[in-house]
Amino acid sequence: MKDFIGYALKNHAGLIRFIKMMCGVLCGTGVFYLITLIALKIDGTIGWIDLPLMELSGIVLSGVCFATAADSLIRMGVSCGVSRKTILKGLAAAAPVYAAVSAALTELAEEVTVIIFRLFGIRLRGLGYVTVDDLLWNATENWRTKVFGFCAVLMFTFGAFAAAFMYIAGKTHSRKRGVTAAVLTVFVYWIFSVNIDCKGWLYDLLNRAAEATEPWKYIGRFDPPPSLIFSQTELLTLTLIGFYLLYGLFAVIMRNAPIRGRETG
Amino acid sequence: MSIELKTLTKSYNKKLALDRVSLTIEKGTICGLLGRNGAGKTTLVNLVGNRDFPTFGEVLLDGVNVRENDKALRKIYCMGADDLIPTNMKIKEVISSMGYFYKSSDAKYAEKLCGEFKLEMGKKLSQLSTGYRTIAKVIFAMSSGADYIFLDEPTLGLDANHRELLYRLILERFEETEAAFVISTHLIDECAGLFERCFILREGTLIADEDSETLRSSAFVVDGKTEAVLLYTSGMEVISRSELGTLSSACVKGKPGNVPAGLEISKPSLQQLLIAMTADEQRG
Repeated sequence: MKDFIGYALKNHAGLIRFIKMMCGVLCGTGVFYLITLIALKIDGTIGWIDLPLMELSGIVLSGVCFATAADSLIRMGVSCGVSRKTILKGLAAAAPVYAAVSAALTELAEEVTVIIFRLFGIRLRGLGYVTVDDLLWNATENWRTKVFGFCAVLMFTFGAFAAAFMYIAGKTHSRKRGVTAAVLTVFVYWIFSVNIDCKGWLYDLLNRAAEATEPWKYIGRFDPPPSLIFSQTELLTLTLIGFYLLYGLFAVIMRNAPIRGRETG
Repeated sequence: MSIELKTLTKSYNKKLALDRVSLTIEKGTICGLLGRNGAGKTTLVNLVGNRDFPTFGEVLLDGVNVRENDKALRKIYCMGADDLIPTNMKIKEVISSMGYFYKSSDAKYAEKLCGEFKLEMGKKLSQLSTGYRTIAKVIFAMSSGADYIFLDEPTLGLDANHRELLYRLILERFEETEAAFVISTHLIDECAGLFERCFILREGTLIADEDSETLRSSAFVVDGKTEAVLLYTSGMEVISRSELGTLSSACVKGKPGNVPAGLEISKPSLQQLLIAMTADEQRG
């Protein structure tokens, strides 16, 4: 398993390629936002945007990049005599590193975007601000908000990665990418309903789990508020559990799946 | 050291792609895996390489099942006719990647082969023509350092010069490493000189597992006028028969007896024999 993890994290075809892909797509998105910036400046009436532009696109694009990277890792592993068991264990270990790197790059891109927009007199508010409830945490522009934003991005990145794994599993079995992508879209909506309200089946489950554990934190301090909004780190932990539950499903699907590649010639 | 396939069976839905195939591949041999399109050659290679799993039966390497066995699988390299290696990877990236998994892989040898075939290592697989993509895959296989190398269609898209070079390099590598090579190809006569042993598949069933020479000696071809050929071969096991005008040719199993005047006897080529053994019709 060491070989495969080493390959996934150190080799040019692994993490480095993923970082290059992420940088590429984030730069591409950056160009799009610069056009948006010009449009806003021409309009001249908007002084701030309550939308984490780069973070949201970064999360979605990280899922696409990870699907490409993970698919390559699986195929290279299989062609080089690595068992499915080892590949699955290796991917489970490598995915959090990919997610952390991806979230860090996305946050960095967001910061750069925020600075550029600010230079032009427009304020952008990232996930860290948008998801914070001012009653629980009076968000200010300090390092905690940055950590909070990173956690939020990381949480949704895990969601995107889980979707990427489901896509690979579907593609491996059906070999019809379009159908797989369509089914996946429905699946993601049902499981994650990826939005900042954390609705959706999985997040509802996570919220309930958090709700059940929440009072333990406040014993002897104060009664938990009736409508609970949880800290991002808690949700991140629970998302990680959810991610690995879905990864288990992926592992079951891939355990005996034929991996043969595309016909040529 | 050997790879043993025991009653290997693979079915897709209700279609049998491989039907109880049992054979042994000894290290230090070059074998031909022959058969018509859809005979089950690629399926067999995929099962040996753990890319797909058998419905029944097993693949043993020195008595150990290779299924999900990393240690055993690293002694086998299967070059498939399909693109399993991501085509967005550069050739040099694939070569360096192989070092993680095949500890005996030889990057310098791979570089040397790239030079001989005039293949640019900085190119992505997707940028190569069919022929050069095949060459790249063959280079990965030959430089892997594996003990058992399966080459599925290693001549796909290769011109005559490259094919000649490939055959020479396979022989050289074989002499250096004594790895077992199993070559699946449709250019049988060209590769016939390489094969020590032949496995012939017909609709998923193994119909021949013999030394090349023994296989070729197991039959003979008789040519002559149709009436004379028919008369001579009556009562014999005719594998195939073909007619052209008043002349006829028959591939017959066994040894030729007393040959009447006007008939010519010759040894069939491996390709002729394969065509005869796997033809749908004209069975005597």
